[in-house]
Amino acid sequence: MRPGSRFDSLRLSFTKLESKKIMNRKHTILIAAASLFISTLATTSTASSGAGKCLYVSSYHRGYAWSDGVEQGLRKVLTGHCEIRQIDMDTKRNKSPEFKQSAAVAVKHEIETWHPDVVIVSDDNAAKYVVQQYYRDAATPFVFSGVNWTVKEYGFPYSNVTGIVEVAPLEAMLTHAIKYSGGAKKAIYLGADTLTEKKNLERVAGASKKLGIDLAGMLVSSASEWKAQYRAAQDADFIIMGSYSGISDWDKTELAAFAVEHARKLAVTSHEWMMPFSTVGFTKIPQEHGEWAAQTAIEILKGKSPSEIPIVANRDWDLWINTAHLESTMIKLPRKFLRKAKKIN
Amino acid sequence: MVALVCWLVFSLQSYQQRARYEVQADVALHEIGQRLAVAQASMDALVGLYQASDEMDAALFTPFSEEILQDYRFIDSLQFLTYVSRGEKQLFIEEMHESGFSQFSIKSPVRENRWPVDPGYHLVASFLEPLTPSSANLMGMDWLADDNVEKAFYKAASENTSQLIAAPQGLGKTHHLVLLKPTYFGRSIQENSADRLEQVSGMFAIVLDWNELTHFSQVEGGSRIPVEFSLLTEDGEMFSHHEPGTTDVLETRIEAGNIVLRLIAHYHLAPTRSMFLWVIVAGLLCAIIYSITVLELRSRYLLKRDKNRAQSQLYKERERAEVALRSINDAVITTDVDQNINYMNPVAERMLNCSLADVLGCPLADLVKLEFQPFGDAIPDPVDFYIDMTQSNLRQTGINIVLKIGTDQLSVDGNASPLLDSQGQLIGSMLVLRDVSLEQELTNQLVYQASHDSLTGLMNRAEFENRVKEALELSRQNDRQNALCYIDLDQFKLVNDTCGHIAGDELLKRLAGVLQALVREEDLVARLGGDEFGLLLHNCDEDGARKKAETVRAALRELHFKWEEKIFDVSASIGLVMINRMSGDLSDLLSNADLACYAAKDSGRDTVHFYHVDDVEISEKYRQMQWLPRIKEAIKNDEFELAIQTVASLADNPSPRIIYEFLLRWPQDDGSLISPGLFIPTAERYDLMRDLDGWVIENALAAVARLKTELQYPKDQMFTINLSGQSVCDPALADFIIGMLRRFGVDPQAICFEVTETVAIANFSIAIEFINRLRGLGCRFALDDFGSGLSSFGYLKRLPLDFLKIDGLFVRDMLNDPVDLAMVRTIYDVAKVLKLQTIAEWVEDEATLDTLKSIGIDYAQGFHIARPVMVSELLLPQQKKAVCS
Repeated sequence: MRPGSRFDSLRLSFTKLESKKIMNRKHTILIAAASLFISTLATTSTASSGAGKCLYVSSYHRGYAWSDGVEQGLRKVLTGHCEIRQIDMDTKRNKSPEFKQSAAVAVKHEIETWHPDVVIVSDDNAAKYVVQQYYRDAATPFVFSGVNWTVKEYGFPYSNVTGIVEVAPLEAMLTHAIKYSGGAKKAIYLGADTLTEKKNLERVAGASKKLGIDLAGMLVSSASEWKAQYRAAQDADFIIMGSYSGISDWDKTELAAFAVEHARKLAVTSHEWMMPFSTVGFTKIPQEHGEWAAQTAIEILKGKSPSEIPIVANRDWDLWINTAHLESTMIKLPRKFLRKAKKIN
Repeated sequence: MVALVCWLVFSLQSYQQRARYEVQADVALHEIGQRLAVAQASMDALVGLYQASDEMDAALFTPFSEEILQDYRFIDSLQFLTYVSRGEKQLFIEEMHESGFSQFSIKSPVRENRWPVDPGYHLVASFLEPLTPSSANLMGMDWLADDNVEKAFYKAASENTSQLIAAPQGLGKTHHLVLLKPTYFGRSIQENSADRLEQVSGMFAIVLDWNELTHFSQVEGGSRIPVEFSLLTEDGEMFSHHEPGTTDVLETRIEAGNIVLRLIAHYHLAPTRSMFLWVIVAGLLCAIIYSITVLELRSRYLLKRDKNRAQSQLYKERERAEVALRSINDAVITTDVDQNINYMNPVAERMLNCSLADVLGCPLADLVKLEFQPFGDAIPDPVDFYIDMTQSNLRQTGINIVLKIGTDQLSVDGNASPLLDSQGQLIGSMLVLRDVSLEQELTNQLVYQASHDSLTGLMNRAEFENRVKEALELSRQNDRQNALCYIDLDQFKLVNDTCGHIAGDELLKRLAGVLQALVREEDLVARLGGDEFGLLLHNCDEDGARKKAETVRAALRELHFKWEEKIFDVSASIGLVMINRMSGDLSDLLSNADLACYAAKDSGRDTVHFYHVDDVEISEKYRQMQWLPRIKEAIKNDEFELAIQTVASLADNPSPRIIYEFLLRWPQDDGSLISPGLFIPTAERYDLMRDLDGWVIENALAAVARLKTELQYPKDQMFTINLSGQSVCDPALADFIIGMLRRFGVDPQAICFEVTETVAIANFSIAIEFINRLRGLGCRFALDDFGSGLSSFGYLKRLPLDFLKIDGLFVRDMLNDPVDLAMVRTIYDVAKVLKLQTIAEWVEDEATLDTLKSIGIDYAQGFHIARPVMVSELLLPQQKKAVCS
């Protein structure tokens, strides 16, 4: 039996029960808590040389590229400094508020029973449903990472909270887009119709405005709709590719081929996982978030208060080129750029 | 001197250390200059990059900074400080918030004594590498709040130059420097200062870690340089960490871009471990050399002093030795290696009757002539002789050595030893002689006295036995025959008793002279004790021995000893035994001679009895001698018994009314009794009578006690006990008797002791003392066998007696022999005069008893009166009544 398989089966059962809506809310929470608890035990990584206990709460699930990158960076730095337990809230695949709430309850239960010295939460749902809901100015220190753009909506900073904000190198991306598309400034933003994407769109719009870009936003809910909008976006000077996360029928292979086939204009993105559907990418690096969160957690374990550590934003990004797209669009990029960027086919 | 050497070594080491440090410091200063140049170059590159791009962003700043930080450890951090005017402040903050730094603010502390409080411009940290949780709070820091920074900023901005200053306090980093260089908007920089100030957009700050900048983990030579550095600007010292007391070593001028600095190296002239080691080693070596020198000089001094002392001591010793030699009583003569005399002390001069001057250089052997005595063998080399004698311990043999001086001679004792020099080489010898003539004479006397009889001058028994032993051994070796004679005078005691010991002694002297005159020169005459003499006839066969013995017997028979009108005929009994290879050991030989003499005496005296193996008489005597162990065993095992014989009273109203005489008996296993006549002679001869008498006294008194209590003997009775001459002469006998009387509770008046006439007279004074003591207690005494011995009425008169027992020889035949009857009557008459009661022995018939009664004899004893009865039988219950009746 592979690690986590038991958790997977429970999670599956939970999903079915939820879909049939035959259980009341209380039962749902309990089952979710139980499954998360077992998940915690199953995924606990004990690598402590000291007495500290670190609870890592991921908003999403393992296998999700961003979350995996954050975890990788976190464990790289944190391993050896404390005992690490991990809880995956799996709210990317389970988007109902009830599920998120129940997952947050399970996390809360774990915090109150295990009494970690520091809790690291990754991405917005954990920040929103766990930190904001239960631990505002509480005694338990929290470190967040991967919270998009701003922490205002969660009321951060709290006296017990610090972390790193996830920002995209939008200005650099847009500057380059303008440059490589011949100075044109009409652009389309294409992404899933999700909260995150709406925030992203808002950020991109702000940056575009600074640069004088005429931006139109297209947020879709299905693959077909995305295809349609993608083809329509070929009329703009360039496309800003938001995340497909949230489009349930997303077929990566098919849509990647579709994108290459129909690509005529430069498509830029700040999401690494959107590179199969884009020409150039200026992507955030999840490991940077994990590493920062881990470094901050270590400082807290040493006795520093979260309030003494300012909230910062990520500064690194990767440069990507999709060579297939590049051929389709026949765009000429500077030699320096071509050599510098990472490449996918 | 040691201190001087140590100081020189220390100075040399210090000099070498200083030189080494100077080289190392020079290298270090050069390296520091290079590091500052690297920082300056990095700064120029960073500024150039900034100026080439439109605007500062993370994509530009972060990778470059990370690379620099990775390559140069002395660069602590890099910052970009945005120059923000008061009007731009809010917008700038919002931009920072938009970029994700939601908590960003400009941290511009209120500066005291400054106006306006809110400055018009800020120099805000907006990019920071490395950005870590611990350094993130530096974001937003207003560097212009620091005076030094402000001064440096405006100088740098107006002149477009780099500035190196100490890190502002707000950085929270001590021992850090900051290299500053301004950036300007646009790609071209204005030429005049005012325009440049208007154009300035910010400033890069490279923070340098002073400790890392001046840290060199390893230098040439492998040792870490204990050097500290100071950094001085042209205006004065900016950075210094050297401790007071350090010494400036080197100073160098550094031009890093437009920065001109002076870098000074300092070091502590602290002694290192190796310096101490060298100093210690040098000090030790010097100390060792010094010590050796001092010790050598001291040794020489001590040697000389000791030599002087030794010479002085030697002189003193010599003086003392000479004085001692002059004063001692021994003759000391020393010689050279050739035994020629080179010294004599005064005693030696007197002993040898010459002076040292006369004999100096003469051979010792010519002067000192020693020979053994009594044989006269010369000792050719006295020194060798005494050395050998000392080594072989011959001195213990008691040999006599005499020193011949002309016709005189001295007995000397000597000692000799070689004289050796300090290397053990022989340089001569020393002979010490002591005149021991007096000691030798005394020794000779002692030897003579030990081997001779003082009275007669003859050999005594011990020496005689030695000579007999030698003769016995010679006989065995040479198969020669010798003869041994034991001569025992007959009736010698009579002379002694009648004329006293002086007469006896005179007789013995006379006899000695006669005997010596009769034997050959090679024969020996000895007095063996009392009246016994011995002859050892060398090389004498049996016939010769017989003849010689007869000659001696005849000569003695012819000798008439006259003493104070009394003339005694002298005779002797002689036992003769041959000494040959068939003889037994010495003990057997002496015993045989004794037995032969005994046999001669028994055979009527004045005879010679020749011993031979199958001699019947000798065998009998020998048999008697066999009684000896049996008697001893019988005493030990209490085998003897007492008999009691009644002595009847012949008078009316006698007192005591009745007398009982204890008689000794020796019962045998077959029921027979051994007569005392058989074993008493042996007991007397072998001195066992004391033991026998003791046994008799103890058992007789015990029997008296039991008879009196158990058999209720009538009162006024008396018990008589016989005492031998040996016992009477024992001074302890009286105490023993008194002890026994007390032990058994016997009334002394009931006891009478019988002593023979011979015993009483032979030991007259002792006998009187003994008798008086016991009579004082109440005991009574009887003189036994009176008439058969000397019958000296003179002695009888002086003896304190109570009874006189007339010898049975007179009583038994008195009816047939008128002489015996007359003797009995005479004895009775004398006894009456002396108020002694008389007891007649051996009364064997009634006629005799009647005659005795008629004479007036008081008591009668004999088989006619009563036979002896064993005491043990008397004490049997069935006998009680009969006896009592």
